[in-house]
Amino acid sequence: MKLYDGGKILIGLMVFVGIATFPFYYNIGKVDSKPELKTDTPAIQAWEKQYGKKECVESKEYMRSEHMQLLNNWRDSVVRDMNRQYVSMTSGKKFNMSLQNGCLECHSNKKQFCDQCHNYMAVKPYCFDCHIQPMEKEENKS
Amino acid sequence: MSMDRRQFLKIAGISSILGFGASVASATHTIWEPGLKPPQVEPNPDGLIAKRWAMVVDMSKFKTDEDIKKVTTACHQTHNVPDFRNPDGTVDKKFEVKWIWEEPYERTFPGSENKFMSEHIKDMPFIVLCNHCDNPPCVRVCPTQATFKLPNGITMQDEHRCIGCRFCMAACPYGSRSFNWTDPRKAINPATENKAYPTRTKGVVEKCTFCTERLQFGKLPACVEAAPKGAMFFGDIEDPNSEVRKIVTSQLTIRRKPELGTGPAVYYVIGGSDHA
Amino acid sequence: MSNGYAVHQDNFRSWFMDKLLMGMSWPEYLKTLITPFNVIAAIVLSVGLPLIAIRFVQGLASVTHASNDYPWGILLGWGLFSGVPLSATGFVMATAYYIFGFKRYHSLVRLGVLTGFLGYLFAVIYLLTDLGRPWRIYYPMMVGFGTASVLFLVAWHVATYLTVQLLEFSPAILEWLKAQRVRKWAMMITIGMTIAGIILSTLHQSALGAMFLLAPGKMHPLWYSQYLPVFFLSSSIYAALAMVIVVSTLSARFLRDKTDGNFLGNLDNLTIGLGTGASVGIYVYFALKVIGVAHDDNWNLLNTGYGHWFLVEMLVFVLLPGLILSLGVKKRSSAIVRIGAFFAVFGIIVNRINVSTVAFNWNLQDHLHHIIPPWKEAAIVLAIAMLHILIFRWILNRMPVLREHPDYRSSH
Repeated sequence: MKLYDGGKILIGLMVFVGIATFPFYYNIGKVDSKPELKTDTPAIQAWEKQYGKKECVESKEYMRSEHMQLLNNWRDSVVRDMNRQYVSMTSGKKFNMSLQNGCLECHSNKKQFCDQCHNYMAVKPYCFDCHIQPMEKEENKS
Repeated sequence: MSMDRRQFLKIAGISSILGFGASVASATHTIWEPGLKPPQVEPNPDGLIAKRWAMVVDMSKFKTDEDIKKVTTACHQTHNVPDFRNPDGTVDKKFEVKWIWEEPYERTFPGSENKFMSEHIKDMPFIVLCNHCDNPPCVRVCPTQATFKLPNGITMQDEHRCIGCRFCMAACPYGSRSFNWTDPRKAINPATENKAYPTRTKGVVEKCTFCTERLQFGKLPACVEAAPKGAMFFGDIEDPNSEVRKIVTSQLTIRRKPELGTGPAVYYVIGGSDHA
Repeated sequence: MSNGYAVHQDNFRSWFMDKLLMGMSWPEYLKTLITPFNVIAAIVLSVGLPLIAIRFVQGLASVTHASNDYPWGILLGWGLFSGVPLSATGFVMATAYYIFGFKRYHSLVRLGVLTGFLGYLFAVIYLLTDLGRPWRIYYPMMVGFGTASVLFLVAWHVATYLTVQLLEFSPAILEWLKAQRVRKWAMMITIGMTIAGIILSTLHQSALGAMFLLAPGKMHPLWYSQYLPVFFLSSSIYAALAMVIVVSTLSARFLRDKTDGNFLGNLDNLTIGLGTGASVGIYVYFALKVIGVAHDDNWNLLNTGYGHWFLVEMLVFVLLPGLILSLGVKKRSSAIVRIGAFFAVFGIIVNRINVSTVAFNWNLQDHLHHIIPPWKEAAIVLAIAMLHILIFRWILNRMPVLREHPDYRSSH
């Protein structure tokens, strides 16, 4: 069998492979380790002292997989329904629904917490276009 | 292509159902379905509640420009409203975002000026803000319900949902809405930024919300707190014992452009004696 | 399974290039591209496209001089408010042909549908350029239903009608691609699509006028009227007829080799026919406008600055083209009818820009100074309009619009 236009096909194939694998080599070196979340902020430590354990509004597993949906619902509930308090399904505790004054109060280490997974997964939530991030000390170079 | 009458009518019928279907689909759709319902969520127990929030502004209590400036600054700092300036320090009118600001008499109450009225009133600045109308044109025209009425009468703005079409600005007769023509964070001073309140982003419309977020924590609007004593009142106009109701019942108050039928909830006392 | 299919697949690449390059080789094709018009187009695009990029990176303020008092500018005044009535061609021609049975307009139906489809498509593109957060354009369909808003209605209708028009035009695309079986299906839904088109376009043409009803305090009383939706709808019908004359004239002039004898032979006759319709439409619209002034008793305003401009619009840009059209019809001169049609189309643009920018906010200080668009905004509008023309020409060059495809000549 003879390959008609073999040269052109080969060039075409190379271009295709180049484009198709673009995401791989584009991200080479960007992410080399699994995300490591730090939950050792002063606010969380204070909570741990008071309640004897670290806990979020819902279980860790739930938060990990559902926090986007939860935040969307919080947003609508606060802005549109004027319901500001969230009753935890896990602990029954009540929380002020607020990204800036709730979530980020405890997780004041956005770079060590939110950004870890978001960067790893290459997602850029637009929340922080408006919601102000906590001031963080520059990381020590160690 | 040929078809007989029967076929034609069949197709015509089906397509008109489809065509109308598209236009009424929205009417039958549940308009707003919250993702979280009580008892999973509840209002803050400390929150102030009212059947209909309203405001009274007594202009005679503002003695100096400082008094007015205090009010506008309090609001704009609380809500991280950007402050765009020209190189010479004057307000950059092109980018200006305003929640509460000053207008001269003839722009506040157009049509009610007359030849013989006091120069003092004609020249004095009036404090204006969103009127949180009973019948707000901005809410009627918003294609996404980004601006909507809360049950307590506040005309709320949900920037998460705003597409930036600016129809609400075309419709609002009071100029109470501002568009973010560029990134607002450029014009917010990080030193005075309110870390507890968000900023906005390029491409959305914003406006006064009667400090909904403060009411929910039992606080009065920032402007009312910053105003001189007896200059601004805020309360439930449906409650006969509220201060706002007493003033509106006992004195002559005027509202902005009432002839448009929007039903503003901000009442002005212009001259006047002491009260309340 | 058939032999033809195998051959087809074998030659897929050359078949596809044949379609794109209209049977020429690359060098031949590129050579045909060097024309004076294309040079102008390249200049316009090389100025406008970077400005569009700047607009998306730095925000609207970098290119328009809209402000909080002037939320809308020429991007919408031209692109949406003028573009949509001039795109009523699809609905008007398809209705005349398929529903009312004006069979002799056959050679102009596809041209009308294509003009309409591209017109709506570009109205959406202008809108995307103007929206603060354009990637949220689907929000009225998916996220929040502002059912009380006329803009909500316009959004839904433009979206559905765009689909309807694409389907209406699809037979031409499928003939071009020689997809015979799919084409048969596409032909079957034509009537249905036409009827859906009538419902959708009449509603949103008037809804565009209704958008201005919401700002009674800001509009000049001569242009503000409770009949605005009726004005917008009635003028869109004659706008469409005049626009078909304009587009067919330009096509016959500049793309003569893409037409067939049927198109050219009938054109003068059909032009006069369309001109008759357009002139009647103009007179109806003119009468309605007079009723509008009378109803609000605005006669006294006619002798003011804005009143004079209103009279210019009414007499020079509405009545005069109507008279020219009538004269052409009476003398059976397609040349005069064409002049009238160009004039009428220009008049529609004048009217829509008057309503959306000149009459809007007329009582603000320095108003007339504010409505002149800055050059960057004008350059963006020009670039998008140029893209519109280029895509229009690209399609006319390739697909059977101005001519009948030889394979399907008898199948209508």
